[in-house]
Amino acid sequence: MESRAPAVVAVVVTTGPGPGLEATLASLVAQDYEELSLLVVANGETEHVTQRVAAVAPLAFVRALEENKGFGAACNEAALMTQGSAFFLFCHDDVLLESNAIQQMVEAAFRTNAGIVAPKVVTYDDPLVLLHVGQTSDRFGVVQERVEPGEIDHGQQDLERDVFVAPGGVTLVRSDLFETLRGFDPLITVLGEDLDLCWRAQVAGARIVVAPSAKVAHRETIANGGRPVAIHGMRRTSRQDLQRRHQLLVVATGWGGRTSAATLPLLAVMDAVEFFLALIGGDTDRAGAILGSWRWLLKNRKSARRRRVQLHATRVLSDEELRRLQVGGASRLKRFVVTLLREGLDRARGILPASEDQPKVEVDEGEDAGVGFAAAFYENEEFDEIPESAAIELRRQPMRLLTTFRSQIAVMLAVIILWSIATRNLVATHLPLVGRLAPLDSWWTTWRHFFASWSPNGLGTGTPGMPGYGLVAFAGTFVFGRMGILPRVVLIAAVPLGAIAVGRLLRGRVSNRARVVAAISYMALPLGLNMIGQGRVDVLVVVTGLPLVVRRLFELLAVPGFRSGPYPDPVPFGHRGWRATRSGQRMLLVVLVAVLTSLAPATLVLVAIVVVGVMASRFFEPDELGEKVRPWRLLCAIVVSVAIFLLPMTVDTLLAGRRAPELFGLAVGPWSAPSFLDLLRGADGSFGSTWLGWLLPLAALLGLLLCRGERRAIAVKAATIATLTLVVAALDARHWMGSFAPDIEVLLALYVVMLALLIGLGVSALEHDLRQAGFGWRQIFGAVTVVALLVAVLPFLASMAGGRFDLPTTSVAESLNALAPTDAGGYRVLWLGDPSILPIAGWSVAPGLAAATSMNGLPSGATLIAPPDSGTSDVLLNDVKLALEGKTVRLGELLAPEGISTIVVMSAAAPEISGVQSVPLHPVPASLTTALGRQTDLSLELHTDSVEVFSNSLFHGLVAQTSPSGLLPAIGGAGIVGPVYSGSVVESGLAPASAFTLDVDGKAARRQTFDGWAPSYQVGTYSATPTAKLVLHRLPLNGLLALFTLVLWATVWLGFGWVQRFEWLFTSRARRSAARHAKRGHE
Amino acid sequence: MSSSRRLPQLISLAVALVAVGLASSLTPATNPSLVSGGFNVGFNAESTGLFCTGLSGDVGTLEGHVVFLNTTDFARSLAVQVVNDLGQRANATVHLAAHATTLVSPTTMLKGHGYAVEAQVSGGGVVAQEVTRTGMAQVPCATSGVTNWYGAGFDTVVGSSGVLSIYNPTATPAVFNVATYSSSGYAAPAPFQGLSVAAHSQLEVDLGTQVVNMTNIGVHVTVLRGTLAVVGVQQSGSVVSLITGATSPTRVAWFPLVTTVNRALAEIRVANPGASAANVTIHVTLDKFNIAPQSVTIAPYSSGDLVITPNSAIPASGYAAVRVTSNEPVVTSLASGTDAAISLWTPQDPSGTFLVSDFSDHGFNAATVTNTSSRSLTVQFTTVGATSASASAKLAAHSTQEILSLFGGVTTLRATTLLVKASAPTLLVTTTLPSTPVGVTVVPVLDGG
Repeated sequence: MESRAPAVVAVVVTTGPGPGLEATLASLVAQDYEELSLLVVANGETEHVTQRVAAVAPLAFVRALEENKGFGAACNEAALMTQGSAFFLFCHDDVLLESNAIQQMVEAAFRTNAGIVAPKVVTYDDPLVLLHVGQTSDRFGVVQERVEPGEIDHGQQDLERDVFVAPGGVTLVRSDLFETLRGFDPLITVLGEDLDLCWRAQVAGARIVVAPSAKVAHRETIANGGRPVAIHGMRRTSRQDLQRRHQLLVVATGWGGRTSAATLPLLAVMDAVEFFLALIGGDTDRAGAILGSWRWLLKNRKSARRRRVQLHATRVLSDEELRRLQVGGASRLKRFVVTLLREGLDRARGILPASEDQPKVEVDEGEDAGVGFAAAFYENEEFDEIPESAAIELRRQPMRLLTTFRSQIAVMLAVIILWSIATRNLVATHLPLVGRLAPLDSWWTTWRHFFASWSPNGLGTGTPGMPGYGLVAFAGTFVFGRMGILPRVVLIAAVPLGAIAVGRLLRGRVSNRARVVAAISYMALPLGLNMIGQGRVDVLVVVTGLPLVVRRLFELLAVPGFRSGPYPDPVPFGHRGWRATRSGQRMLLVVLVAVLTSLAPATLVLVAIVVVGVMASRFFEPDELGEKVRPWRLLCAIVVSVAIFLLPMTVDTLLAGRRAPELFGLAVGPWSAPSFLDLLRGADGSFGSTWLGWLLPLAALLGLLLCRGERRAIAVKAATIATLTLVVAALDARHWMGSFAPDIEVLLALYVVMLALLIGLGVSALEHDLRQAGFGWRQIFGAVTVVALLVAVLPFLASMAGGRFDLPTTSVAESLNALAPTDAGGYRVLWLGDPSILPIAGWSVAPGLAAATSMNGLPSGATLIAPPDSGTSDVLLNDVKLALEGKTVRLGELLAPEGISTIVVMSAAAPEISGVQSVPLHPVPASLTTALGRQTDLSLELHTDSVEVFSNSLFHGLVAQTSPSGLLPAIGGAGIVGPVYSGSVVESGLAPASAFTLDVDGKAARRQTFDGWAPSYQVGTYSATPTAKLVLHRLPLNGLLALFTLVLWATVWLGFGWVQRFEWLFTSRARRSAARHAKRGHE
Repeated sequence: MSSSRRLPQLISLAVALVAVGLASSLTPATNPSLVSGGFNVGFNAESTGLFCTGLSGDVGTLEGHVVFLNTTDFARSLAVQVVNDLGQRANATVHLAAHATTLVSPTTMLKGHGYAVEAQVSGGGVVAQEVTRTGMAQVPCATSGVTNWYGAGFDTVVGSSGVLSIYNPTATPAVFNVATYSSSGYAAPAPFQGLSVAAHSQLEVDLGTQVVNMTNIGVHVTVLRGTLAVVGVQQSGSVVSLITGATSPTRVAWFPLVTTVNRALAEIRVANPGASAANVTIHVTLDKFNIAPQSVTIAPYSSGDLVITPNSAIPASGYAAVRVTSNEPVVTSLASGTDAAISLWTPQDPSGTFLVSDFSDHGFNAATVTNTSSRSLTVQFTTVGATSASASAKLAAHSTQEILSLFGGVTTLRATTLLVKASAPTLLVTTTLPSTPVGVTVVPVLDGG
């Protein structure tokens, strides 16, 4: 009976003294497949081959080739010799087939209609260890194993399945397919011919399957260097060279036009990176192989073009379909990233051995072994052959950097030490009069400012004292009234405390490592450092407290992941546990916001931005938790509560009218405001303005892109808030929101909190999400994030040198100390400049121009905070505006009744001192300088790049009296006793007129008002020179308001459980009383 | 959670950021430096100042007066202070009715050699012009001081004198340097360095004391501290010129009325205050004649001239309009007159508003408007007075027209005040007084600065 089995021709290609040829042939002879012919091709060295074959397989044909042109060429030669076979079985001469291998492979070919069938390959020495069960490849031609190194064969891979590559050794190829493909490509002599053939077969629409039931052992003597590559003309070519060039050829010709155009440049970039890393690592072989592969491709460009044409002629699968058969990403790069993340840089560089707890993998230290970064791209299995499930491996080997408590503490200690070094000169040296570093008044005086019925801001105002004074005075209690310590504490501790607060913000949402990284990033972000350099203690307080505010806001807004459980059951106010309830938490948030708002009112804007940001995010991406929250209600509740907590400020704001928006900040000059790119970097100052400043925002952006699941939900909300903040800040910087100009630095505080949050989430994503994802852009972004975070710390380290973060050693204001008028009596100094550099709080005149006054010299604690209601000071502001618009040439005359002797126009907070301090310029509107130069009654006293000082030639004292020679200075100010001329008229520059009376020899003088605001007093006729005194007469309404506020704060403070804590006082008294009553009863 | 809705959100955020970033980056923020002055300050100004210097108490051609003109519909009060070169002062208060003019003669208030008159006006809209007794030299009073002043064309040859009359209008004691450029090069005479002028005081700097017997001298006054009002006084024989000068050198200058009549002399005098040689070219427009541009190279820190009349390439045919261009910033002036005496005139900068008034009471020989831009202008003419007439006219690009040919509201400009406003600040108004030969006395027009 005629056999129905298809004919198979087994082609064994032997080269030189192949040590396993006899064994190979014997295993073929022993096959139980009937229609098997055997053809041995002696490639090059043909001596004794015929005898060796005849000894084992006498029926085999032998074809001797004079030159070894490679495995593929030999197979092609064999195919030409053969007619009528259905399959070719291409075999190396170092394999050993089980007796049913061919039968199983042919059956598999018919069963699956496969064009190429690969067997299960085990190691030659130990048949229980798997070597290959088919292979796969990425788009760059890098082959991946489907089994792990050393994997024991328990039958776990015994499933017939499609693979992309049938590894060489034993390969069954349908002969018609082989013919269609024109056989192996003779350009590929050795190493890579299997990939090439399979790639082309896939393109031609053929299936490639692995038949695990067919088992083959393989020595792989060529691949592992057991035998030299003895191909004609290639004796000097290393395996690495061959593998590289053949991979490149396959990729360069295996794709269609568009995919090729995208893939080749990408491969070129990766090769370039690897090339440079190899050079850095001293791996010249690898560098040479990379370079040589491209050179070789260029040299064989005509052949490559021909291959493309041929492939196109047989193409059945599109590139997209082909891509689906491959693994995603770039295997070689993935290996580097995975090693870097899992075992650190040194391991990735290949200079450390594999960790002890991992099974040791034999690393070939032969000619291909790399050193340095390049080792991560090493071609052997250690690096290139990625297990199919990288996620499993990553979970087993998580990144160890900063995972232990000890290492985290060590890092924190290092940061503290570095911070101590960086702020060493803030501890005891002089603090300049810049930003908000005006010397504070004494503890008692600061309390008095809070309760005061009149404050000297502007021309004087009777509006309630700002709550900030109360807070500063309260803080002064903790330093025993040493008020000078307070700004130093804020300058030194605000940023580290803010970093700790960022850690708390992320607590429970990310790992400790991520929190540490986020906290350090927060410290390295430029805003805090710039604010120290500019003396902006108000912003620094926000930098400290804002992360806590954001955390509580997120909890109350039910942002996913920020409230793990429901709030406890309601507890009565004042009882233990009330603080943990929803009401208590809300009150805590209100208190926090109120504290920050009292010093930096723009904090309220930040709260609104956070709420709007979360709402906007939910508009696109609703979540279940969000439906239960009413954000507008929460926002209104916070605003109203804060308004009540800061009642004096609220009253001031309501009185301010059109100036009410100025509560949140004054409009800075658009010409000196930070640019949009600076805002993106969070930089408003010298720090963060270089390209390194982009790294942390970049890391935050990548963090956003890397996050998945709940982390992404939080990250998207953070990104929305950050974007909203940036938009508001950018509009603000260009003065596109009218008089609503919230302090840009305070806005940036929210932005940097969101950056730190995104960085923390990004690190968490590296730990979790990255491992769950298949390799691709995420891994690349992850690597970039790690690098960005590491490099971003460098500017911080560089900024340590000065020991005070560029806080000037001296200020413009202090250099003007000697400019006080010599005349007796009080005087005012008018300070004009960009609001961001004025060392005193004031009001806006125009964008980039604010005006403020100080009494009798430099700014002091009395004018630390200005109420938004300018009141009578509008007269002063209008005068300045007239000059600015060129509508007056006698500004001095206009300012004289206001007691202004000197006008200081600041363009920088501190003088530029070459080699000592460099200060950015924030010039006033240039028209102001021109306009002041035109004034006929102002004398320019000093002109530098930083400041212009004009003296008022018509100044006649803060309080003046008429005399035959005109107005002359009289008494020095309120509460000061001085002589006045009998019958004269005393004109006072202290507003409002109704607040003061002039007591002349104990009797109140008749008061009139001139110019609509200024009080004048008619001194009666006296025989002797009378003495006069300006006395403040006001109802203490401001004091009552302050007292109410204080009581409110105290009540809430007690409500947080302190009532309960003092309960023993009452209960013990009650107990004693009850005991007494009981005793009397007994008696 | 739906990632399909997350992408639109991220895209929205990115779009918002990019939009704001682009809007922020593409609209440059400039620091406003322009301060209104003169007419532009508006009638609602709290106060304005007028500073006049250059008149002399010496009996002769430099004796004169200041004419104040109220261009508004409201009365104004002027606090006038006259200062002489000895530091003496005299004060007066002048009330000026709406549209009224008043004369202040410093010689009647104070005796002295040199005078300055300062007026503080309670409000805006009042202008002033210094006029010599003959009326043949005029200069507008300044509304503010300057920190740099350039002049060109001074002569110190025998029979001539060049003087800088300087007034300090502010309370800041001013300090300044004077440098000169002439055919012999740059000079910064030591006596002209570090000169100081006390607040509200007047000073005269005689160029002839340091630059002896020289023609065509360029001058640069650098104010080191404060600001100054400067007027150049050029006396050439019996002819006096009051020169407004310029605050900076320019690359282009317009001379719309340059006489080409026989027996007249007209030349463009150029001073190059820069370190590079300047190639100066004149482009002459004269009736229907096509005249080729003529050029001259002025060495660095030097001066030179280009003769318009007599010039064999330029026919004698009334007024020529001359445009001077240079590759380097230079200072120019027009010297016109006769062989015996010349008068100087500094070209004015194009502006949007001019006030033409017959302060000398001689009327004008010619009064023209010139469009210096490449686009046509709409020019509005309004007579200032109790009854006003108004009309508009189109002025073609790069053209010069007689005012009376465009504005039919008046038949003559004698004893008339005319406000000329253009739709863009590229207008020039130029007038010449009646003279023999014709057109040799060009007088500056109030430009609101």
